[in-house]
This record gives sequence, structure tokens and C-alpha cells, in this order.
Amino acid sequence: MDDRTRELTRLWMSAQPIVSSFVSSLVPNFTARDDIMQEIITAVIESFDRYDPQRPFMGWLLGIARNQVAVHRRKLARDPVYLDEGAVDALVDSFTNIVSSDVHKLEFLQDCLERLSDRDRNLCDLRYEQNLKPAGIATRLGMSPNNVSKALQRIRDQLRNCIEWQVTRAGRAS
Amino acid sequence: MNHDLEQLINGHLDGCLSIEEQQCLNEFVKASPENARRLALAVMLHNRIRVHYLTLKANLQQVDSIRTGATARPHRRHRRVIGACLVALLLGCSLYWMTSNTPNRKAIAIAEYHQLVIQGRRPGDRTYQITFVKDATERPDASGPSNTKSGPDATDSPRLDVRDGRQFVYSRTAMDGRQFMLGGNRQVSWAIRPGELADVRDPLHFTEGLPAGLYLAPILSFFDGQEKMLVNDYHLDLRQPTKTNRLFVAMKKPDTKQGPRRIEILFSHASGKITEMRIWPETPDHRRTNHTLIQLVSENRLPDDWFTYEYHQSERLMKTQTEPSD
Repeated sequence: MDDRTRELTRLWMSAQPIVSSFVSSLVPNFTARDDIMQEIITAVIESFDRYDPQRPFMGWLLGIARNQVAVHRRKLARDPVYLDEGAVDALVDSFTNIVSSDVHKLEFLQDCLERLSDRDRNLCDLRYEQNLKPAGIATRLGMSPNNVSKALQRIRDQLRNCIEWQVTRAGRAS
Repeated sequence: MNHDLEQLINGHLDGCLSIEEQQCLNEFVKASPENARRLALAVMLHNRIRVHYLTLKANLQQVDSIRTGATARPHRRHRRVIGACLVALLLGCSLYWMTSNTPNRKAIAIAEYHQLVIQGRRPGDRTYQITFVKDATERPDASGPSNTKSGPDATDSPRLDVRDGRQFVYSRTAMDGRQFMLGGNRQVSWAIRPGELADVRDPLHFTEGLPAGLYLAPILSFFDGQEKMLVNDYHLDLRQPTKTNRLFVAMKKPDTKQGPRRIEILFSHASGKITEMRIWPETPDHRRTNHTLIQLVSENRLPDDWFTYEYHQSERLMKTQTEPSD
């Protein structure tokens, strides 16, 4: 592997979680997101020679990701557009300014997931492993879709608070 | 706006917002960078939970398969269960390690593959010798490699000439000395059969007669983006068989229908030059492991018009005219 490829691989590995999240914010469907990520890595490799190292890598990468999402949407004419251009601009700025501590604190997630109740873990399993939407989960569990949505929101709040608590505790310990 | 931002963000993550709610979310996100950041952080958490569950699922499947194997044998059950648990634990740990490194390994393999494609399109002529390698375990009733459809029955080693990774001439000589040729120069593709004039078609028509056809990239590409077929439909890996060489391995994903079963590309680590490519065709019976071996034999410059049918057709005509008649 030449130096340029090694450099690209290094940059890509650190940026990948943010790019993946950016694409998820535009295309909530996990399967579509995975397909688009494949296209992005291909496009990044093909155009890396044109990347100017003086410019921020993340901004350049998010530009490519945005284009690939647009290409994906053109292919699937029925794919609904979730966020408008102005909102996507604002999101690009936000993701460009994500700092490494924002990414690293998610390392505490596993510990926090283990603290969930059995019922909440079951909901997460249906949503994230089996990729069911609230309506599908509601049918399985005999709940209303609205209650499933509320429960998922509560679980995410709980996880976020748990992660923040763990970060604070780790900070105190060190 | 009467909506709560957190509720809108969560509805967006689950893909269940109404049009009106989606418009509200748009306005919220545009209203302040802090709102946009809240959405960004929420998506990052959402994404990470998904990754966690996928990893967990892979681990559980592995443990399950081992547990099933252990319960199938009731003798000396206690020791076996302990053994199975230990193996499960070890495999689970190694699988976790593998899955957590998979994106890295795969990204490196994809990056390297694209470098090979770029290298393959460098100007220059390359000649490859093609051998159909029969495996010793082949069943006696098997009728030989599946890619013999392109030409005559038994032949010497066919030859593939490539220019700039884009143009080709594929020639095979039958046992009786008759020569079959296929070629293409991006404008047209053509076939010349013994005693016939060239059959000229569209640029992709005769590529089907090549061993592995469209899967010859990075040695030979017929259109931009052809290499994506491999990136999308195959599991890619990069290995290091010797200090100086690298081996790129592509295994077809189970849900992919078209294409060879396995492709291996051996290349120099220093120069990126491909010295060997092996292609295992898809067969219903996996005991047949015949494969096509493509080896670089020369990089000598060929005549300028070598890749046109006119060149070879006139060669044939001249040869026929100079041969003594019976």
C-alpha cells in the first residue's frame, strides 16, 4: 500500500462514524444507508487525488456524502426527502464541528445498554437488530405505535444521560 | 410551532414523522446551530446502538451454532458442555475482535483494489497467458471448466492482449490449428472465426466470450464503474502471502447471483503490478473447483492497430492467399 492510500485509510477510519451518522440523518433506512456508505468509500477513493490537504478533510468528505445521497435519491424516485437543503447545510456544519470527545464518549454505550430493563432491551432488539419501525414493533407487542415511539425516545434519553454520567464519573476518577 | 424538538428528532430517527412534523424539524434545525447539533448527536447515538446490536447478533449466532453442535452428542455431556462454552467464549471474543476490525480491513482491501484498477488503466500493452486449471478432486463425469463456451474444444493456452486496461484481443488455437479471436477497442467488439470475415458488434457484445467476462477488472475494464460490481457484490480481503506480494481475495456474497464464486489477484506490493489472477466460476457442485489462471507473460509493445479487427482480418486473408491450395 502506498503512502497516499495509507493516509486515506487513516483519515477514513477516523471520519467513518461521523459520515455514517450524517448519512443516517438524511436517510433513516439502515439498509439504504449501508448501500450509500459503499458508494461513498468508492467515490472517496476515486477522487482522493483531487483532495486539497489544505482544506478540512471532514468538510470535503461530507460534500461527497451529500452528493452520493442525492445520487441515491435520484435512483429511487419514491424515496421521500426528509430534510430540505437549508437543514442539510446546517447539519453539514454541525457534523463538521463534531469533536473527537463526542465520538469517544459513545464507548460507554455498551455499559449503559446493559443497565436497561429487560423490557427496554427487548424494544431495542426489535428496533435495532430486527430493524422494525414503531408500527411493526407495536403489532408484535400489542402496544400502540405512539406508545412505542415514546418508549424508544425515553430509552434514548436514558442512554444519553447514562453516557454523560459515565463521562463525568470517568473524568472524576482520572 | 407546538412541537417538541426531542420528539421530532426521535420521530425522524424512526422514520415516522408526518409531512407537517418534518417541516417543523427542518425549521428547528435551520433556526440555530445548537438545534442542528442536537440532531447530529442524536443520530450518532442512534447509529452506535445499531452497530452494537449488529455485533451482538453476530456473536449470538456463533455461540448458538456451537451450542447446537454440543447438545447433539449426549455422551460425556458435562465435559463437552464446558468445552463448548470455552470454545464459544473464545470464538465470541475472536468474532468480536474480527467484527470490530472488519470495516478497517475491508476499507483497506477496497482502497487497494481501487489502486489496482487505476494501475491497470496505465498506458501500455500487456500480454497474459490463460490456463484452465483442473482440480484433481473433479468428478469423472464432469465436463470440464464452465468457461469453455467461448471457443473450440481443446486448445493450447489462450492469450489475452490488453492495451491501457481497456482494449483487448483474446486468441485461442484449437487442436486442429484453427484460430479463434475476440477483440474490442471501446468503439466496437469483434469476433473472427476460421474461414469467416470479422463479425463486428457493439463494444460489450463479445466480452461475454472472455473468461469471467466483466469480472476481469482490474486487468481489463470495459466501462467506468465496472469495478464496483466487485466492491458491492463480494466480500473483499487483503492478504500477505510473501514479503513482496499481496493477495487480494474476493468471495461472492451469498445473496449475489451473477459472477464467479471467487477471484484472487496476486500483485507486487512495491509496484502494484498484477502478476496473476485466478477466477473460480460459480458451479452448482462445489466439489468442482476448476479455475482459470491468468498470468502476465509480457509487457512488449504490440502494433498500433493490433486491437482492430481490420489488422487481424487482413493478416488472415494474406495468410490464406499465400498458403498453397490442395
